[in-house]
Amino acid sequence: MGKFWRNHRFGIIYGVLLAAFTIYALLDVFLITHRYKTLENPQQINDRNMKDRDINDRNMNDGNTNEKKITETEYKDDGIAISITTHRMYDTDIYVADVKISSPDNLKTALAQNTYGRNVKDYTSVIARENNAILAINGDFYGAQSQGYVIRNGVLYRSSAKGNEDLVIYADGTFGIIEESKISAEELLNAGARQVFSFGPALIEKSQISVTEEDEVGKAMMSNPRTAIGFIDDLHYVFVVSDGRTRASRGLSLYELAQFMETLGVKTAYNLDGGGSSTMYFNGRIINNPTTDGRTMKERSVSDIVYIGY
Amino acid sequence: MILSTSVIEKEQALKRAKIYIPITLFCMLFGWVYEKYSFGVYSNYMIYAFVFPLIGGMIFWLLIGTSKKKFRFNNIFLKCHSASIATFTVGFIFKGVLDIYGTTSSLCYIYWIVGIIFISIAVISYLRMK
Repeated sequence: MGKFWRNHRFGIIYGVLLAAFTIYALLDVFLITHRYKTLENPQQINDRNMKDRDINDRNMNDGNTNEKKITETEYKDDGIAISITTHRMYDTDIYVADVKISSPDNLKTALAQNTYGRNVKDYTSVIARENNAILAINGDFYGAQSQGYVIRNGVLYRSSAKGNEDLVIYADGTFGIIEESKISAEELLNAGARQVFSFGPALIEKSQISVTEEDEVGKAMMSNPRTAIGFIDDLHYVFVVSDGRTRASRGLSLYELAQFMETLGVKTAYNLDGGGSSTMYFNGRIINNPTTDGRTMKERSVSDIVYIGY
Repeated sequence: MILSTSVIEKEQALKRAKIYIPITLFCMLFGWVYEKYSFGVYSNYMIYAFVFPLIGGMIFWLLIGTSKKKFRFNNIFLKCHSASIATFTVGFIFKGVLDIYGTTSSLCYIYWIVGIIFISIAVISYLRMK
């Protein structure tokens, strides 16, 4: 034992240190929470917004309140109209939320636990409920990356460029596609950006498909569950989520997703985080079948959502 | 400090080469299984992690063992050479895991820095001994 220890102590000690560091690094990446900024309670903001809206409604309608029509696949009031349809293409179920809003302020984003940080995560449905969202999809999972612009609801959280193709949603509700290498986050903010997503790629630009059959997200080679958002016209959008990784639905490639969105009449479309993150929430329930491993239907915790609400 | 140096005999070199065979095979198998269950998401780091024990370990010692020339190494070289292979291999697998999950970490750089330091010390110690 003494001789073995003498001969191998460097290897044993270094092996233990290497293993310990790797365990710490894995915990740091996947588990240890780093909170950088916590915002005002979303419930308070929503209560205030709803109160303002009720006052406006009463003023406009001379006492009559805004009438809502809510079904399993439809939501309609004076300011927001959403209809959910399910499509079957490429051996995959695709869920489309057609959204018309009266104000660009109804297109919002929210952070998990109302906090900007790394490993600060929650289910899309939980974040949606906390923010009184009518419709929500998962965002770009900014917390999985250490670089890439993050602007949410007009607040700049991260300005380090990763070189991605980003989606910009401006204050008037229009969409733009930019490259991080060509414009800074501060310049985008000054240009009126309300939301910036750093995932991609852009699927459709100027009504033309902008991905090829070979294009993929990072290192994903094949069909997967997908989440995308598209701009059809002023204050008219589509939120698209596809199933995947199951026998019932194989999932979509980026090109298939772009082709599908083209049929919806989308002028600008952008791919958000997919795979196990892909989730669509509508009126208190999950519309799609989120899965990471293809066997268990369960939401994956994410950093952020895009939603429609007041 | 006097560094102990020794001529690496053919048998010793081949014995060292053999140690890297299961390590290489394990890395190949680990990468293959990990890729198989990652829904088409791939990482070259994960796929090629086996290259370090294969080339830096197995082939390196095989060449030493089959060479007609006698090689002399000190303990610092032997220890730092092994440590650098271990560091690069684990670093590649770690980076592969992050790639496949779709995330990044600045801690990856620690592996590259430590690995380069070890291999530099090994090379310097070998050159100084000559």
